[in-house]
Amino acid sequence: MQKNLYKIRFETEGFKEFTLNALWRTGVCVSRIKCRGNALRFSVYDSDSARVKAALERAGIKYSVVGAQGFIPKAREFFTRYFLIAGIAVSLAATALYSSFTGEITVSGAERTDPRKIAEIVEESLPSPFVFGMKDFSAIERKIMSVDGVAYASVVKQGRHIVVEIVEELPLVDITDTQTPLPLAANEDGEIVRIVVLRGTAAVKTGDKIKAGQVLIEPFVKDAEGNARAVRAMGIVEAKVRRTETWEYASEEEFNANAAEEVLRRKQAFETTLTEDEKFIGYSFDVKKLDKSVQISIYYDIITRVA
Amino acid sequence: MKEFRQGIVTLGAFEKMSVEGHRGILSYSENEVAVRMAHGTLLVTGDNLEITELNPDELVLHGRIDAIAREKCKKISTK
Repeated sequence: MQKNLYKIRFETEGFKEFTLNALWRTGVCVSRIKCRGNALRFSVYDSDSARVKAALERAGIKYSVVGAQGFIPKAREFFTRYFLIAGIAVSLAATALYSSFTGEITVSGAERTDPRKIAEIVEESLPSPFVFGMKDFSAIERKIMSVDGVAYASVVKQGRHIVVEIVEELPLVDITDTQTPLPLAANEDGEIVRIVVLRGTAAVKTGDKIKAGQVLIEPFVKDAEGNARAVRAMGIVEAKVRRTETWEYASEEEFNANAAEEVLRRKQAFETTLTEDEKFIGYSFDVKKLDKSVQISIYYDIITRVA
Repeated sequence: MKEFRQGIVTLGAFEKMSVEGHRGILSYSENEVAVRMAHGTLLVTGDNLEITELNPDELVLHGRIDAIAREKCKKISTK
């Protein structure tokens, strides 16, 4: 039975008539003879292959075994091939199944928006961790876009990852106009101690007494030929200014008992309110006796920016 | 077991031929096959001739067979 299941295929070189006669003399059945030039291919039953080999060797014919035919080799080939295909198919299926489970949600582009909030929205919106075949994430995208500050959202599945890319709305920015020609004016009364003109033309000089609202730097510059060009006035103007603090005592006795200490305390308290740009110069005070009460005023002299 | 008779030639549609009782092959080419028989040589001519099976007592030949001739003596061709 084995004989009918398994055939060996040979290839020989040399004169084909000689080879065929050598095969004929062995008394075996030779089938599927194919001839190409002097090369001959043929099949013999596996049980006869030893005799064929011996005969070919005896006749000095070069030969090689090029394959096998029959049920067993076919079965072996089938199982080898189809088990391999089946293995690949199972691997692909396993990969597809594995990648169908959402492993991680990655959010990019969230600078002002909380990425955890976006990830939570995605997690809540997914039908289950198993998102096999889910391709339409537009509903999730719409949900993400409804979050304040998100202008656009894109959700894609890459392997086990859900990648969320968002584009945030631009923050509102206050645009300050620094170009329209405007003069620089004093914001309080004082005496100029320093003026630095960055742009424009100085309207005051050191030592000038100024009033609140007075123009300190004019909004133009003149070129060498005397032509004026309008600009936004800019600069640093410092002035000696006076701040006043006034309060009353109900009686003279009370004034005598508390005034000295109170003035000192208030002066110290005032000094703590000064900013880095302000410089304390000195102070003076004035006492006015009213009908029953006593009014006291402290004058603090400081140097501060008035524009 | 099939019992082969001596020198029986069977021709099928001029495309297949079997020779029973051969004694080997004298020459073999696409256009001519000379088969040694017990009492001479069987010369087959045609196109695309191909010996497909070779058994101890039977030989099967495929191809377009144009002519079959019997020669008492045939020189071995080395073509």
